[in-house]
Amino acid sequence: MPSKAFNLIKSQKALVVLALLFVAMCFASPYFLTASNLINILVQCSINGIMAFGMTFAIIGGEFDLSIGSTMALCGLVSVMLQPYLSIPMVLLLVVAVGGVVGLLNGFLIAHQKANAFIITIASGMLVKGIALTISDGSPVIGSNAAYSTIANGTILGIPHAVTLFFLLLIVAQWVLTRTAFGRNLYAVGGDATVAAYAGIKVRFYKWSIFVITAVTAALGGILLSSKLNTGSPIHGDSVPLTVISSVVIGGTALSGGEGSALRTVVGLLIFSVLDSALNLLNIYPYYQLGLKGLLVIVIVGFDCYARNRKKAVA
Amino acid sequence: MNGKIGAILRSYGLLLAMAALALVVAVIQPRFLSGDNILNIMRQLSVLGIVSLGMTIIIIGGYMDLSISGTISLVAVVVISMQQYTSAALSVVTGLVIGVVVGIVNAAVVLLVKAGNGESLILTFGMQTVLQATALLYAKGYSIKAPEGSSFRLIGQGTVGFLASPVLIFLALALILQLMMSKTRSGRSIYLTGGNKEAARLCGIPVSWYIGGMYVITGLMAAAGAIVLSSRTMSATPTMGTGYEMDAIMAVVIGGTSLKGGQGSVTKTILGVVLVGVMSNALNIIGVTPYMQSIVKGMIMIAAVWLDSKKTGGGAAFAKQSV
Repeated sequence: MPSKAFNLIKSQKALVVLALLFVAMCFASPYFLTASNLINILVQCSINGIMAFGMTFAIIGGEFDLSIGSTMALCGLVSVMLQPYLSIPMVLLLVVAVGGVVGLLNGFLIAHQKANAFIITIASGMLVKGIALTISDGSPVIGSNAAYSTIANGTILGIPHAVTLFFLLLIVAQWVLTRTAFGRNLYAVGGDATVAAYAGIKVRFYKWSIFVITAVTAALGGILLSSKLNTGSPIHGDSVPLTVISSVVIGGTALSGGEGSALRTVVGLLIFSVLDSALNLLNIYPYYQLGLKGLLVIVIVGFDCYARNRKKAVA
Repeated sequence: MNGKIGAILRSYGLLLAMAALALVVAVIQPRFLSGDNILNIMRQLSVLGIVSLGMTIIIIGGYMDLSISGTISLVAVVVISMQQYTSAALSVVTGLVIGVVVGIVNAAVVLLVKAGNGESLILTFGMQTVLQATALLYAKGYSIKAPEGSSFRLIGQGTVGFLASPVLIFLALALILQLMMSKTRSGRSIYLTGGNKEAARLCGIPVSWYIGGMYVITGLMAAAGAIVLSSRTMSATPTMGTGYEMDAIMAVVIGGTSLKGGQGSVTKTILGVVLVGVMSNALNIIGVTPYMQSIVKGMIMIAAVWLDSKKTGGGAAFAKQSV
């Protein structure tokens, strides 16, 4: 029996870290285990979380997308700027379409023209950010429609809509990945694209859809953030891509592609949010917080990488 | 005939694009080709150039280093703060030592966990965050100014003949690294390690040592870039390095070095850095707003990488291999 428990710990390192962090905080601060703090933790991880689900698809498929921060900023900005002219559903539709266009551009260059995803998504991020800076003249824009801010801030039974949407998308993402042909083929494409192509999988279609998915989740993230703050800003989201990729990888989805899941990503996201909340409650100086997060990334990704390579060597 | 023209376009496309850009800008604004402006461009691009040299080595060797922006910030604040109570030479040595130590730590982590290309990206991103936090803690979040009289300013503001000293430093470092990569056994070993690590190891190349060496060079170049940068303004902010890692990778790839490792060269990177520098200066001089510049740069980058992928046939973002 103890060996079984040990195996569980070994295979779910991120979950163990999260559990330890959680239990330690329950003792360390009386404010940690309160409904308002727990909801706050969930709200904090919901916006990055939705984009992290998109990124989970990308990383499972063997790619990643560094343009999501800019796409998020542009989409948030556009949805705030369109409010005086259009009804809210129209705004949302248009903004998701804007995200889709960015995704199609990335997809065309990477899936169809086989350009390098790393550089193409930095460059398209630069392009999109330039558009956001130009249309806003570099300054934040405040929303003019009060109803818009209820999209993220409204609550049902005390739970903010942003959190509800986060959990709905988690269910959808996990379902698509584990229960549909699309999900299974995506794992195959990420595991080995050549083998997948020989097996009759349309690799190009899957690579293309990866970038549309990440861009659309970035659009949703932009809508939620601008709704939460009732402000759109061209400088939102600069640190988003690497933070989101880190939470996906910390959860245990391998950067080499072909494995991982949306549930693991949630664990990675929660580690970051719980740590944020813990460091704030314990009054840790912000610069130390930054350093600790960097160390955490190194330690967890390092351990994961080490264990994976050892497993490979044994097999 | 058509195929021949196509081949020329593909191998020299970047140079031709640069020449065309320069010509158009020179017609619109004759000041662009004046001696003053050309020296100005060279001065502006030398810091990015120095940093990109290190990035070239690590990318050829099949790894990635995002920590350089943190190294730049940390070295800049430490070196500037030291001007108060010590000699310029000692501060420069301290800065370079920090670069070497960062390189050793990066290499130790990457080798310890047997990280591949993709994982080295995330691990060095973690390192970047740690270094950034250290720089902020060291400077307590404030900018630091060096006293006016310090001879430290000669590094960034001095001139030798008509050339500014940052340009000379850049060219000297480029020459050394180009010779190392093309004429020595170490250079060839780094190419082989980047091309196929397993094969390199089977050939008897001490792969781990070379990976360590590559990270040390990258850290050292980041430190040198930080010293030149902070000496130009005689001040430092703890977030001074932000963005340099992406700009450097961009310059390397635009020059034509593949992210897959095992190919490329220092001279290609010089070309990439010059292209980025000329482009920024050209856009400034014809009065394009900084916001529009971001759009134009993004489009030019996409075009350059697109052309490059036609040449090399592209492929996955990262080669799949581990030590």
